[in-house]
Amino acid sequence: MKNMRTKILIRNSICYGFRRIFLFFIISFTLGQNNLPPNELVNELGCGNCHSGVDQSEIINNRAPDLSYAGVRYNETFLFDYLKSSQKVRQHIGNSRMPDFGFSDGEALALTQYLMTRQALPKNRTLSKVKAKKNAEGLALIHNEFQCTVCHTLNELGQAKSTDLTDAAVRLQPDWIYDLILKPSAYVPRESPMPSFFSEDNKADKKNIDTMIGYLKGVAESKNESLSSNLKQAKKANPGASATIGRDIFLSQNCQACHSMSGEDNWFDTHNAPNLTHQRMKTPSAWLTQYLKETPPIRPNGFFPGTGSRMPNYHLTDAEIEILSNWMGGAVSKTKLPDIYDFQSNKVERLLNDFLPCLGCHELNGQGGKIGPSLSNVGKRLTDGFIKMAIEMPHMVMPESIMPKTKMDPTILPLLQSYLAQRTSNGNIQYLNLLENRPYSTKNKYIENCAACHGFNGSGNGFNAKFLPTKPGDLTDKKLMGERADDTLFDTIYVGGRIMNKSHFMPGWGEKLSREEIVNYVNQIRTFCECDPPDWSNN
Amino acid sequence: MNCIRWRISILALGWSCLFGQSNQFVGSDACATCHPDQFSTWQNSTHAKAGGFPDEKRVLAPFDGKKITVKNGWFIPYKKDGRYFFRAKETGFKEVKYEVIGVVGGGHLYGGGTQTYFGLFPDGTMRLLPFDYHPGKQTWFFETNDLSGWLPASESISLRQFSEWPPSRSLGLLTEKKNCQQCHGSQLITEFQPAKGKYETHFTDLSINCESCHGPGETHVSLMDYGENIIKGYTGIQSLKTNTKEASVNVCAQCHALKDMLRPGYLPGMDFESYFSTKFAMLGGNPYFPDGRVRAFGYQQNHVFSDCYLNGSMTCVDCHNPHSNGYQDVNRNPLKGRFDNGQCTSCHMSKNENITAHTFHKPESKGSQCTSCHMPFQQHQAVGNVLKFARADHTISIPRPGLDKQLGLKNACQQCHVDMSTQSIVDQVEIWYGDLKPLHNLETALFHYEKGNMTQEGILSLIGSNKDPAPQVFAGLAKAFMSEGASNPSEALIVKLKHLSENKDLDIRGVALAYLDLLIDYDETIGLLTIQSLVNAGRDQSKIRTRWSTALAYRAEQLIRGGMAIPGIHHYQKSVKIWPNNIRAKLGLAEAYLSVDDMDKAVKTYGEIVQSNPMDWQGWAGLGYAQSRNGQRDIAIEAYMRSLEINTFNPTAHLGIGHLLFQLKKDMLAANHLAKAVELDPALTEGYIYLAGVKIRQQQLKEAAIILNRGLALNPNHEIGAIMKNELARFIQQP
Repeated sequence: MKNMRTKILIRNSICYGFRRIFLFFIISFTLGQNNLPPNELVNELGCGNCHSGVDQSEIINNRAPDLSYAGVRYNETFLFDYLKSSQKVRQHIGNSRMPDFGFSDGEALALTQYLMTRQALPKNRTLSKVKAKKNAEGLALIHNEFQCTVCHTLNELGQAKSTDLTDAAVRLQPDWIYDLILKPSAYVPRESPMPSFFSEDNKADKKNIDTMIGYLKGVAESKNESLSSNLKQAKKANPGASATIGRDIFLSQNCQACHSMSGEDNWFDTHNAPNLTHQRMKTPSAWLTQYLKETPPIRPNGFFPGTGSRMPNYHLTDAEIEILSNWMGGAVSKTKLPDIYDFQSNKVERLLNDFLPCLGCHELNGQGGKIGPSLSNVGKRLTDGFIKMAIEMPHMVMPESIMPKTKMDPTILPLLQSYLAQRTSNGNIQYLNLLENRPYSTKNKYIENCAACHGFNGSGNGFNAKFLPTKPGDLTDKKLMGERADDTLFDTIYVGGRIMNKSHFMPGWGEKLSREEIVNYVNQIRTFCECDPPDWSNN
Repeated sequence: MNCIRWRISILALGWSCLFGQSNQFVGSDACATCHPDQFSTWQNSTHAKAGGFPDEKRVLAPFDGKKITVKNGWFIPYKKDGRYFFRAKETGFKEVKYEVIGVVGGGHLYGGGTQTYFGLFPDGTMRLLPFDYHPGKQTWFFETNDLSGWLPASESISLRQFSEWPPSRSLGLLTEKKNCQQCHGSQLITEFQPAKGKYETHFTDLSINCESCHGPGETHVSLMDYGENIIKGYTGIQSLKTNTKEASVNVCAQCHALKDMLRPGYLPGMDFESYFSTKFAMLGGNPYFPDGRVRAFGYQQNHVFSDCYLNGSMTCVDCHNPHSNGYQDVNRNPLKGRFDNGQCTSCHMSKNENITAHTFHKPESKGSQCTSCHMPFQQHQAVGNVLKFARADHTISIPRPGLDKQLGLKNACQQCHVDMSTQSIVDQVEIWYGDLKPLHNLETALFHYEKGNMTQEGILSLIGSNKDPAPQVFAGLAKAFMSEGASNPSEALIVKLKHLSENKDLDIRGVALAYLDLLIDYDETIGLLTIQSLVNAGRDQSKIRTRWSTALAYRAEQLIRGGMAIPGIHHYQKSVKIWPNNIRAKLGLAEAYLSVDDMDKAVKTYGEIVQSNPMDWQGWAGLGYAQSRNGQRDIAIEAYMRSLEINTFNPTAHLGIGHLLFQLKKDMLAANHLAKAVELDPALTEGYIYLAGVKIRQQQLKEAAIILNRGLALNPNHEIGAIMKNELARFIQQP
């Protein structure tokens, strides 16, 4: 038996390029070891496809499935299940994997519904309707005749060098499996060793494929029933989920950073996650290690607030975490903020509650906005040096953040910095539900900086509004806005809400935006309210 | 040696506060150890230099022993053994001598600072001496009592025109005496001590110290002495940085405001609103123009009328550094000075880049200083125009030259462009700015009312709503409440007042309820509403009662001044009903009964006063007077004596007893009391008249003539005095 298999292997290797296959196995073996070069692991995980400061992955786009035809490739029931808790399906892609985005049932359902609409098959491919019946003979064909188990596993047979065929019919639609077996080169990467045994015009081949698919369907039957039931329940529980929302979720998570998806633009020009260059200065190594293990939410509604993007959980092994942690380095910031006393903390809390804008965007002890990261654990998450700089010069250390620099009493600044450095609660930060808080692209400047509170059309109902004690200003209010001079609006945007006796949670943007940009915002408000400033303010 | 003894006694006076009522205060030196930066900054501030004991460094006036002659007398400021004195003499009166024990003011204020002097009097009060100094003009000057304002010393001004001749205004807040309130010192309390039969004046400093703003520091110091590590979030003192806008302004309004005392006993750190109202002054002398600007005399608390306060977050410390008294921007960055545009442009950034586009003046010119147009220095009219006492307009007004002309104010432009006519300024403003921002509708209504629209409709337009800004609402409400037509009911008026009775502002609620109280007979639902309003007030009930009652007392006083005693009594009765301990209303009511010769009720009311507070020497004296007029001479003397037992220095009681003894022809005893009365209060006309009467009866005619002349100098129109003078002249001519 062993000799037979070896002979076939040699024959196949000669046919499809022995050298290429050998190289593939050597690379796969090498990458699986703990002493993997960090850059290789980063490349395989595709970190640079979302994060800036890291090279974009050369290989991840080849390894992640093309989702352009996900709707004809995958079973809806499987997609829903998989999106909720992804597991590694293909064993031949090294350390690459589909990470877990922590989708809720509704989010997963919407995304599934969207993916099911994607049916753009590769050029010149059409799918035939397969009428494969459940059978037992398919196993012999798969295992013995065509030796698929040389790479695939099936019913505990074979080798885990590719996907497990046991649940192939759980994952994949029969029509597409048929086309894949018939014409693998249309779907798998060029370097894939998957052989092409069959001819499109050969009836015997068609029968064999049907038999194999029939067998696989039989194996998957009970699991499919179970998943189908789950999906049905989810649909009932989430009537608001739709393919349209699913599309937004797809775009919000920057799925195209890894997957191909024809016919869709990308919300993010280059990336949608923090620059990792400064990680060495930014986060203490102890926190980073724990973070890579559990990947708890940090930004409740996206790196660019409102986009809803998340850092997914890669379920990294301890060895991988060690590699990545070493790669990013431990904190070497020498800055140590002095401790402050409880009464000073109380003072800072009163200032945060009543004067400073911070909690308009950040959560602290269960109160505050959901635009930026929580402050409850900021002392654990960030180094003292970074906390100091993030407040004093946010544009320098976080150039992509919308966080404006807040001018404040110089005697308050060190207290605030020390106070934050002492916030080490574990917190319980949750991502905002993307069905209830529909994500959006922030390419428009107003939307980027203002829509989180003031809403898309300025009516004050942005996703963050419900977390604020005072409703953000309704910029569409013709009467109210008509009573305000342009200069008043300019001043409010420049210096913040507090000076206008409005909410102190509205920060001043003058240290971040140019005067021209602020003037543009004033004009944008005039568009929203369809009103002119009062006559007396014309000069 | 004398000097040392004197200083010890003064220090003892100051330190006594540490062991008296105000023993929670520790003084600024206690702060210096832990807060050296703030302390050293404060030490150089005008607050720290606001006053103190007299010494070479502090006293600005020339105490050079030179006689300064005035119309009917002279005074000499002089120095001896390091101590400072005044000698003064009015023609026909004895020479007097006052020692200066306290100095207030250092001429610091840009718009014209002054320096005043205080002396210690036998009854324990520290009183403002009549002679003030204006360092800017380098002249002695006097506050006049005939609406002439402040006038420099000259031979054309009479001592009788001095408002403080003889000295009567005490340092510290008192209900029963004219006083300077508590602002010319720190933790200043003047109170009557029954055990000692006199007043005691306590203070920590005559400057403005740390605890004037921060409140008592004793607990804080004790806690910090334990060690910071064990203090769990409580320091025993509240950071003022975390004050709300209203609370922050109230810290400064402790002094920088026209404020009405509602009840005595306030010290920094206490609930300010329980003791004072900063709006009730609008019920009285109409201190502000309808837009909040100072009409006659005021402080900076009218800032609450400003758009920056009402529609912004601006507090005093957004421009003024409370420690250095220098200037800063909204982010607490120090500024060059009072004219630095950073005070405004740190908020109004739209004006910052191209100031000329807004001002039409060159960038570095005075015309491009925000304060030139929006906070012009206005001479306070009650002071007159002779001596400079101009204060920056803290309503941060928009220049409206046309309006200023109507109000008789020098407009901001004319402060520089002195040669331009108002009309040309109005025209230029029109060219540059077009329509000006309209005044608030309540301000406009008040203008119209003051210009003569005193109809019922005009009154109604003064009443705002709970959505309107509180200062403007109160100004209109106060004007309506004090108007002649206030008691005329209308359904619309009652609806508006009911609405205002739910206002967040306690002053507005109090006056709205008082106003409804006037109309209670016209709407049967008012009674229930007012009761419910008090129930709903919860912890604020007492504050509302005091305001409600005080407002009614204000109106009662106005009615009585206007000759309408019976309605005035009715108002006082309402006032006392809502707050039975309102001593102002009770005394007013008793005096009103006297004015209508209802002696039974006057006696009864005074009786109630002394029953509720047996140590009320003023009440006992009033009771004596009422009983005396009621023909109950024996018990009247007892009441007067009781008053004197409590306060030996009570001139009224001496006068009353002297008068009764004079009637009983007990001339020797009468003469003693009457002499004591005029000694304690040299301005007591009746005392001189009765004493002259005694002397006539004792055939001491020359002496009688001298004393009588003193009385008539105080009141030349005294009828009995004039008759006596004629009679006496006849007697003296007939040997």
